[in-house]
Amino acid sequence: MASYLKKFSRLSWPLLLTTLFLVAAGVLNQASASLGGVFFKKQLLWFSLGGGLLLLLALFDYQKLLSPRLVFGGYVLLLVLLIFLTLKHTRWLRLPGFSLQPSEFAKLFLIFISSLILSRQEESLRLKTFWQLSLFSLPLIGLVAITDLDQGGMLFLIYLSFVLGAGISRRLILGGLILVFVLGVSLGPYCWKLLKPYQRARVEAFLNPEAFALDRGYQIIQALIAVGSGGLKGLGFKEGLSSRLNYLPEKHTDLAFAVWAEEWGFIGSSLVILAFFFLIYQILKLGIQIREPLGRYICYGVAAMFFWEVFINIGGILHLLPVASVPLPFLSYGGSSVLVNLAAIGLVLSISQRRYSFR
Amino acid sequence: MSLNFRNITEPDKDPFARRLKFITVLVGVVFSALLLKLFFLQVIKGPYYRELARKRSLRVVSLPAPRGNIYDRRGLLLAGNTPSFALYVDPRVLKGQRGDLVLRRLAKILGEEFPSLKQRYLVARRKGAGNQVLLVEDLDRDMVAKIEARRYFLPGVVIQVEPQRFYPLGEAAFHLVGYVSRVNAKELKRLSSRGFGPDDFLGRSGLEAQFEEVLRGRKGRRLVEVDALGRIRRVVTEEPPQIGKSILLTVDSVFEKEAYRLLSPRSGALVLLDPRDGRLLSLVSAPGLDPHRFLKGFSYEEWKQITRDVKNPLLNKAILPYHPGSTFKLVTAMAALEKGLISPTKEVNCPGYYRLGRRLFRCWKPWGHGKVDLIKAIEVSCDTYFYYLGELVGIDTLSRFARACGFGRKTGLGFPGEKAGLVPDREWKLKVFKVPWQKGETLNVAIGQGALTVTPLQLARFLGAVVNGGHLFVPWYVYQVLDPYGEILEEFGPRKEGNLPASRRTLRLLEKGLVAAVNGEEGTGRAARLKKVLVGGKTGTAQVVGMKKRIKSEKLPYLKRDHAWFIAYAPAQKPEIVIVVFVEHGGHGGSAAAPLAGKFLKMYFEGKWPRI
Repeated sequence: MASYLKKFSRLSWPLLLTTLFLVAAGVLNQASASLGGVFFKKQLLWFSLGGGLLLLLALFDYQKLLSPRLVFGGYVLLLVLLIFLTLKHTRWLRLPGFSLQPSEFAKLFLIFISSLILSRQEESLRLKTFWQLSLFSLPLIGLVAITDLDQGGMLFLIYLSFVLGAGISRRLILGGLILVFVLGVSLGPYCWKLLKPYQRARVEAFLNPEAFALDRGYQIIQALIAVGSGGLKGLGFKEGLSSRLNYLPEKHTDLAFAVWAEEWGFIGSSLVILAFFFLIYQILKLGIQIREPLGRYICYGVAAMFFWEVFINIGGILHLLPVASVPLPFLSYGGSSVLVNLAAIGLVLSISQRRYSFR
Repeated sequence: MSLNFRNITEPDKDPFARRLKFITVLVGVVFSALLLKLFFLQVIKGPYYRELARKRSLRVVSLPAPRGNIYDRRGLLLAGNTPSFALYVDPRVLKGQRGDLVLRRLAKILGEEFPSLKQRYLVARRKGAGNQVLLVEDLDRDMVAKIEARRYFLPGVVIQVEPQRFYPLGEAAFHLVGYVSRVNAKELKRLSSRGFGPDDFLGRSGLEAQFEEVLRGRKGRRLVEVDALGRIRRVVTEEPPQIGKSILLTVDSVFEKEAYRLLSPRSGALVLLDPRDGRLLSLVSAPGLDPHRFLKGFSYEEWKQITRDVKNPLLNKAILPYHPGSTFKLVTAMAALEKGLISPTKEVNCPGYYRLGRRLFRCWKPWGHGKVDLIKAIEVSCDTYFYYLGELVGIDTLSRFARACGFGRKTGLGFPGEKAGLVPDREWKLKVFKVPWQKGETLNVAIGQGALTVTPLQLARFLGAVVNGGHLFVPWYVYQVLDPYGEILEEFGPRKEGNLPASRRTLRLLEKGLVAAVNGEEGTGRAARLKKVLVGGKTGTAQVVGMKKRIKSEKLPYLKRDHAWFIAYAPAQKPEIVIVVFVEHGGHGGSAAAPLAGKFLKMYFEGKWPRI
């Protein structure tokens, strides 16, 4: 018992408290978005399950948990599951009573496996490691992208973050950028045709939402109205016109932040954005503090995951990016998302115990 | 941004830590961008988006006010309201393809072709109703149930319960009560300053028009929140409508109904009046129209049929001018007696005609009445006698007396569309025809022909004055104006306009003649005689077209037949009602009008109607 208390006291408290704040905001937001309906109750259940998972992982030794054998085994299982689901043309794993989205868990395993690979290398990324990294990451990304392009994109961004963060030479980054630019210009129009109509519509609507106000731009315009009408102080809890009167589509999931912004105003929504920043900052700082390679790559990966999710989601709602269907951590409804995010935090907390021990 | 990392002593030896620091800064930059955009949207453009949100989700719905009721003297409804369902659509929701889809679904439910519904919608929308366009009135309950059940699939469609005008007497009181219909786009421009909206009702005729401002309530407004599908989710504030004031009439719906039943299917009018104070008990014109038909509007075919009907169901004959025929002989007699030009006992010989210079003026009886005195002349309605009086009196005196008896001007009832009639004189002839008055015309006026026209209403109040001792009242029919709770706001009573220019003696003589005309052996109005009650009255047969020879009316085409009149009062000893029956193109007053009056009086004195 005493050892647990000791472990507990060593956890990174700023990280835990920030997470708690975001979870609280998520609970409030679901209470408003679903008006105390079924989504709210289910989300509460997921939060409590996720909280348990978080504590479990936080007090567990992550190095034992993330042994190459376990991670690889899990990775293979996930791959098989994804192939199975892809053949059934679905992104949902339906279990009695609830459903899970394996693509969410793919994020965790992508982080695990990338961290394991990178933790074995020395200072900067070698070509051999890069191939290893790509060999394990790309099948996972491709499989997820078939049924859920947006999540596939998220995975790709995490993969890209690892490649760039693992110490690639500046010349290569520059070369890569030039290559992407050249390829984009030459193959862009062709790729544009390859996109599905709804994906093309998203980009068109992003560029000119007013012109598609009734169909494609509807989501953007309603999101902007919701966010904008929040003003400085917001309309008040459960008083948001846009969410209460169903003008906001996907208000439980993709546009959950718009609900929050409308009801809590600039004060409330900037607080949430700052909390996200603080969360990512704490994780990155931990990555710098500890010297254990697996732990710091895990931290890096988790930070990258949160960063991309928050940036893509909120950026889409604020009309800085085209809208993509990715959940905002903690604020959006979704069992898998809650479990994955809280598990990730749990792992980082577990890593945080090692701040004080040196290699 | 200062990042203070405790455990890093030599950052250069840890390139990963260096990269993470750089990445942290990048993350900071991106989040600053998010915060900046958030600040721009919420704080700088906040008011703009708040206004957009308000426009998008708040609507003002106008609540129609129920019109005040119209009651008869028993408190029975002549005009009231029933709830009806009206279907409105919101043009702001019905845009583009989604709108067409909703209209298509609606058309299927209503059993109407989509193009016709769409066209009606476009026409209705042009009327300029902001967020409510009236598409269907008076939906039946089945339809309401069908639509409400599919509400989810019909965004922008709202069914509202509205008060609809209801007239228990239907056609019978059509001309008295009038009707309402919705204002059209042209009228709206004129009336919008008086608070009218595009789908409001306006009183068009009769009491509905005359008391428009009293009956019309004030519309209410309701501010509602509308969800993304155009469905009302919450009422924010409500300003309830104010019900209009009610009016209580002196008219009796029992008489109104009976009179209309008697007149139908003829064309004509019946005026019933209490001679003691000039109150109207009934004002009926036939044929009428069912006023409810105006609520929905007419098709072109229906309207053509109505306007082409020779019996003119749209005209209120009780207030329109016609030749009075022999009923006017009372005025001629009054003038002659008052001027002392004739003694009531003086006998005039009637050979069937009266000679004026080289012209012969025929009596209605070709072989003449022989010698008749005043009473006999009224009894048999001898034209010759009154030609003689006319010549004695002259047009100046006759027209002066006619005016003093209330002819040639409106009665002061205030009824919309009431006409003044015409009392011709020298001045009028010169002004209109630019030729001097002919002596022969005086003779025609003396028997109620020529250019002379009077309304049934004028005749009723004149007879009332003759039998009540000479008091010429302004006819009235509104007794009280009530607020919605039944409190009396205003009360009206008899108003005397003046006295007849006749002495008691003259009036007695006229009454004697009137009694003789109904009860005498040769009385022209014998058809109106009652066993138990002494009735006095005078027939009238007004020629419509001038003819050399007398031809029986029945043989003429309808529009050339004579108008039949009968004016009566009862009981003769103590008169309590005056009745004027006018049958347009009915033929002889004695055979076409007097029996109707007789039947009515029989009902009045012997019938079992509930007395008050």
